[in-house]
Amino acid sequence: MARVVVVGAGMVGAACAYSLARDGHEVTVVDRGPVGGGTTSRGEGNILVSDKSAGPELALALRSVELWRRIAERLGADTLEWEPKGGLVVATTDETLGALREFATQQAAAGVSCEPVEPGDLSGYEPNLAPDLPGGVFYPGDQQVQPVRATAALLYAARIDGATVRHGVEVLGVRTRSDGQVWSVECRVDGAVVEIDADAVVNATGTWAGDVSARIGAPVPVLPRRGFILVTEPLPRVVRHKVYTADYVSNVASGAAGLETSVVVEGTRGGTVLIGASRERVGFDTTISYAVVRTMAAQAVRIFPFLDRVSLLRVYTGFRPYCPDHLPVIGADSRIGGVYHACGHEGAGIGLAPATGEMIADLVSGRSTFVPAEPFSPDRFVFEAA
Amino acid sequence: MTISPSERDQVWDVAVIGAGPAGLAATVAAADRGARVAVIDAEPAVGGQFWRHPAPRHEPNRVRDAEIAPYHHSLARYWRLRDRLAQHVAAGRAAHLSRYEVWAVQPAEAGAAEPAPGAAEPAPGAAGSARGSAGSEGGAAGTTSSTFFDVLAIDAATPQRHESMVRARTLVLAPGAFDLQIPFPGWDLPGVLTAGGVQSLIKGHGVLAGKRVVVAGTGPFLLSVGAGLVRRGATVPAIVEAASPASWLRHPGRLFSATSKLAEGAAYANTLTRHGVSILTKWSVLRADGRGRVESVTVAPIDGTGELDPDRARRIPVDVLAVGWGFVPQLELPLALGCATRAGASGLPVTVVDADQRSTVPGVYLAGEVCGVGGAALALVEGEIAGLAAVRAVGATGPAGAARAVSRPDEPEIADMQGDLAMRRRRIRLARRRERLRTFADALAAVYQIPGSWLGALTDDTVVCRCEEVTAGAIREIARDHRAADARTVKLLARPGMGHCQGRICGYAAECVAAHELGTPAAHRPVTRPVAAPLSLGTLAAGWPAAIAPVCRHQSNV
Ligand SMILES: Cc1cc2nc3c(=O)[nH]c(=O)nc-3n(C[C@H](O)[C@H](O)[C@H](O)COP(=O)(O)OP(=O)(O)OC[C@H]3O[C@@H](n4cnc5c(N)ncnc54)[C@H](O)[C@@H]3O)c2cc1C
Ligand SMILES: Cc1cc2nc3c(=O)[nH]c(=O)nc-3n(C[C@H](O)[C@H](O)[C@H](O)COP(=O)(O)OP(=O)(O)OC[C@H]3O[C@@H](n4cnc5c(N)ncnc54)[C@H](O)[C@@H]3O)c2cc1C
Repeated sequence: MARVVVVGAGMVGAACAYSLARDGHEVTVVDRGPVGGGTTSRGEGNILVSDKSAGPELALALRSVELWRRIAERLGADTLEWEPKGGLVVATTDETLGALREFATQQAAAGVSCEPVEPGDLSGYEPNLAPDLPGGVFYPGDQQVQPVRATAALLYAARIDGATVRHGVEVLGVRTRSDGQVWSVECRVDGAVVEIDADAVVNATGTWAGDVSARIGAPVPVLPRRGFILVTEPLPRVVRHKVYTADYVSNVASGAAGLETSVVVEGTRGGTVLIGASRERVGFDTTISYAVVRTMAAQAVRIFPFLDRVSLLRVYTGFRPYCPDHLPVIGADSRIGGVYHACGHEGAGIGLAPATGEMIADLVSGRSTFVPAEPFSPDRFVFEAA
Repeated sequence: MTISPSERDQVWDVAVIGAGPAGLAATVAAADRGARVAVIDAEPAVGGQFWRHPAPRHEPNRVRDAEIAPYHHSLARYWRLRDRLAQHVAAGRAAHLSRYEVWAVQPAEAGAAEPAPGAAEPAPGAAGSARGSAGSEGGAAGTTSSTFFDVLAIDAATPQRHESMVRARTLVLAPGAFDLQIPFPGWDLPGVLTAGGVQSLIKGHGVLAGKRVVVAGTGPFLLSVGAGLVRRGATVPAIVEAASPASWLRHPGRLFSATSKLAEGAAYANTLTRHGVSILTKWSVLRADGRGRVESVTVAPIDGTGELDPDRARRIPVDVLAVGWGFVPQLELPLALGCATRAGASGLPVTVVDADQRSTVPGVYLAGEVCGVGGAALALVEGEIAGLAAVRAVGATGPAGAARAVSRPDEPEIADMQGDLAMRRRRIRLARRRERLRTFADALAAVYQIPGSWLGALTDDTVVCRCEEVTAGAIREIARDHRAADARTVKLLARPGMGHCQGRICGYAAECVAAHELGTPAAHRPVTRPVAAPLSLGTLAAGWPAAIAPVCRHQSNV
């Protein structure tokens, strides 16, 4: 069994630790901050298959929804605030409805279950929707968790399987043996530099993975993409599923640099309604753009007119970790033996975490992976740079 | 980015947020020196917490003034400032936007300059001000320059809660503080109130919260609340002070330098003695009980180990329990602008300012309790310093401010202040006074520390977060299971602070409970809350609001 240091106690690091510890590896999770204190606490907990077109990411997502179901059974749905509530995608124009239906047909061919919804049937799903929407598609497979609770629960389970979790530990780099294999992880703890012996290191530092991978000496390109989320006052259950506009589908796949907004509206356990999420590439600028917030509010009110009178309680900001080709980096780095990356999940790190953790555990344990790992390999950047 | 002449018409020299002692002093100081000032406050009347007044019904409202005067201090200063502000408003130099709740402040944003659908219709009802349209300022598009700031405020006087914008070259933020609350068994019973709340009822409305009121917590403010209550006719069975007066003796030098404050305290003490109010020191609240409403409070002495001693507890029948543990600076707006903070005397964060009350963000000045809780006298001094500094900043970059001198300043002592020299003297005097009062405030804070005894008295089934009904037991369990000691992680895992109050009420306590469980000190990091006042999604969706333009546009031609 290997001594594995997982860097990052976010959703992805927690899922890696969970799978590695179940395999019997000696796992140490280190994070400079608290549990889930990075992007994991800055996003929503949508677990979506609906927004992904056929391809490697969809394969990972389909595996993940299955694994989330199993995790919820094992650890308790309440612990994670897991809800298999399904997603309803609505179009606001006939034109987008056409595009959405076509997108859904292709997804169905790739194994996604989805059902077209006629305008007259929309209110059966969501009674409070605007009455003039032309139609939509329902995805029964979409789920939801509370990301920080899910992260804490997976780390707790990993600890029961023998893992150690250490906070206040900042990773500075790795030391290698003469054969180029990882020997130890160099960290700063309370101002002092310490080493943690390791056979393998998993870089699960999300939006900071670019920086951490460079410190390790095996750089991968991960960049921030800003998003805002609006939180309303607590309400009785007024939104039953995840409801989002079809524009979201095109935004996710888009490579455009500017601002993209399209709303995802969902109710939470606490009664608040979350309205997400904008996408902008503005570096790590945390100032709230009230112009963006206004656009999001307008889009939400367009599909749920009752929101007009509902109070805004809070706005929060996060930075999605993205790679230039919009695919996560999962796998062994060929430059330093024992270094693995599990980062760059952009706006889907919560959803994709369990399948990512499973893939890392399979690779560290030397098994073949459930989902083909090739498309996620860090080598795609290594050879690009060479 | 520079502002064109037409844009200048849309931009105030100074926007002051908060019309308490600090904001009022800043407004008058700046307007006296010719700056165009908009002062924005959520309350109907100026005065803030210290000089809380009812809504002005008719002019003049000296009758109401007289009614509540017995419960106020230094009212002559208040009247002078209030009347001076009224003169400035009448002369078109200033606007008082009362009942406007500021929900956001930001450096002027590109998006704000674009005409937005639905923004054309100006909101009615701003105190006699001309309103320009934000849509006319296309020149600002595409810039992130912060040569001016946008203040976004909700007009709470209109049933639709219209949104408006005030654009200004400098900001003085003086939003004050709110009561720090600490849970104990029974604290959520009706009739358990904050000391500040009880005081506000008396000062603002002449209303007694109850007939038999125990005042508990820590700090000299308890004496002032107790004195107000007995003067108004209530029975105060006891004032329960957690600190020990003997510790006063440890800082005698600092105390004697602030004699007027001491005199104020002595006056309260006199009143209380005359009414036979007993003051229990080194005692604190163990629990409150009652069916449907508080009926009694049980208090106990704090023993040598710092814990409450239940064996010597005393039960006192009451119909109201007023509890005050000090005040929490209101940091939403400074934090939204990126102003730096530090740990204040109570351990809670306060903003960082320099000798001119300048924050770490250029163009943003801070005054009053946000810079550290120090009382009204200090707030007045800081406000005036901030107001003067803001005028200098505006004067230094453009002709709008300093040149226009005003003939009748606020106070006789500064009537001769036409030249630089007098101004410099005034500033030196203010700086000295600030130093003295700040030293006094620090000495008070050192004496009136919140004791840790409440943590031991807090039973697992006591609710800490009322919005989300999270108990102390739930927080302790989360802290143990996930080693979560910081407020944010505890909130994300156990939900305290997720509800309506957003942790304003329970945040301090929840973090103390978690940290205590893990045996680590509570960090009390500043919490950003980008929405400082409630507004509806519909209001937001309507797009950028119209700007409230300076009232005295014609003056630039004079
Ligand atoms: C607005 C918004 C909405 C979103 N909505 C969704 C959604 O609905 N569904 C979904 O699936 N995803 C969503 N996401 C994306 C999701 O939040 C992220 O993909 C996911 O949280 C990434 O998790 P992570 O564990 O990789 O990173 P993080 O949670 O950021 O964890 C990385 C950790 O690494 C630590 N770290 C960094 N550097 C070091 C170092 N040198 N030493 C030690 N530790 C270090 C950090 O402290 C941090 O805790 C959203 C994101 C945003 C911003
Ligand atoms: C409830 C309460 C009662 C108090 N009573 C006394 C007392 O009797 N004696 C005493 O010595 N001290 C009292 N204090 C302490 C008090 O904080 C100071 O003495 C003094 O009032 C501080 O002056 P300030 O100008 O800093 O703030 P404040 O007097 O608090 O004034 C701040 C003003 O800003 C306004 N404001 C804040 N945020 C916004 C916003 N987002 N939009 C619009 N307006 C905003 C508030 O409405 C308020 O009018 C009390 C404090 C509280 C909380």
